Amino acid sequence: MTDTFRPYDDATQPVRAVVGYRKSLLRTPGQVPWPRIGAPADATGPSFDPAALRPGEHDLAVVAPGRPRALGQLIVVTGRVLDEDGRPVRNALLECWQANAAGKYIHHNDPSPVPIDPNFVGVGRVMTDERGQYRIRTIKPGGYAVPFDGEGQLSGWWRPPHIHFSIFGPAFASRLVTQMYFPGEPLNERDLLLNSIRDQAARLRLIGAFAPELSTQDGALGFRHDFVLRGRFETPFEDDHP
Amino acid sequence: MIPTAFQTAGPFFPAQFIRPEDHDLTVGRRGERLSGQVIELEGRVFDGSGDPMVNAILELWQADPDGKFPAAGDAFRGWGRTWTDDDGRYRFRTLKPGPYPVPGQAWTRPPHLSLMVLGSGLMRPLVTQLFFPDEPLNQTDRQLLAVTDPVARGRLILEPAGPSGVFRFDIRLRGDRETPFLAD
Ligand SMILES: [Fe+3]
Repeated sequence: MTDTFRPYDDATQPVRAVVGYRKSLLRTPGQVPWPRIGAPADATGPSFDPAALRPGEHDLAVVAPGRPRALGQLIVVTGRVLDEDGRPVRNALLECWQANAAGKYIHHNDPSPVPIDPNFVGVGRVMTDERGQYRIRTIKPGGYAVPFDGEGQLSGWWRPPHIHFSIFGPAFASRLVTQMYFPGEPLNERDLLLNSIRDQAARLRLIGAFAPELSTQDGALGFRHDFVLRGRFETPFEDDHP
Repeated sequence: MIPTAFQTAGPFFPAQFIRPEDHDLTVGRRGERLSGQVIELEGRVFDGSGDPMVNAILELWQADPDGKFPAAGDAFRGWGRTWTDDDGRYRFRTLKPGPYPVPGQAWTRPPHLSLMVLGSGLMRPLVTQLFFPDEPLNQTDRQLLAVTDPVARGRLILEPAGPSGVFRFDIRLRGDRETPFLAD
């Protein structure tokens, strides 16, 4: 017996080469991936010390104590990180990043002339608690026009508002990098990245749920969003390799 | 439950997430120097048109020199992260991992490094494993043998480069000399 991981169902994952997204056409391997043999390298993974996080890293709406809060609609996003059996994943590190309310990233790669908000960086980290729960506070990101990148790229492509998440679960094989979208956004229907997932249920699960009951006294709108990481970590599968 | 779908990391992965010590695994969790055989891993990442991929995010995961994968609190972190510069160049400094027996199986894995590539245009992470030249255990490694094309398999063996302990691994995402990637 060893720890193996169920391969992802391609219908529930994005297509690798997306027509209209030039970089995906240039960077997606042409060969079919080789089989990944289950072994401790995949069943183990890096661990991060909760004490390494500074207080306030979960709050993207305030860059430093005493500074005014960022411009835009204040929101809280909360939910759980679960494994495939629905069990909470404790001490999972979540890294998140996003555009400001006007749709601008504070990043050397963002050439857009959209204004910067001096009180917003758009970068945060948080770890899940004993119940697998996380909570961030931020402002709702703006959508943005994707710069035209030459032949093979769709012109007039706008990204809907979204928050990027990078999640470290208990294993190297459970690493997840994804994006959370917002409900009711007209751009959701046209986005090349969100719609690269064929399975409708899997696609819709990337859209956070409006949760007015989570809204706070200081005027933050609540959204609920769960993540499911691959892997079952207590019951190893039978080894299916002879 | 079905795992959450991947989405590309895009071009705006924050530099703040890549600390200077993240590419140097010879530094322990508390900043201490660790003992073991120091190796340098360097290379470039190219896309299908032969252009360097700038700002590719590379994540490394490996066993320690005794062949043990680090647990929470261990001095050796076993994990590293870096990104490629304007020439698509990257570099890691680490300790050579040891071989390890796979629990419950008559199979010993040769020293190897797991590598994950993320970045703009990559809709799903690309994962592969890198092996060291002249390791007899390479001949019997199930993962290496699962890459059944001998030419492709050969591309997963690190190339010695310059002084001892320096290895080169170029990543070609697409095209003639494409790097063999494993199922994500
Ligand atoms: Fe984005």
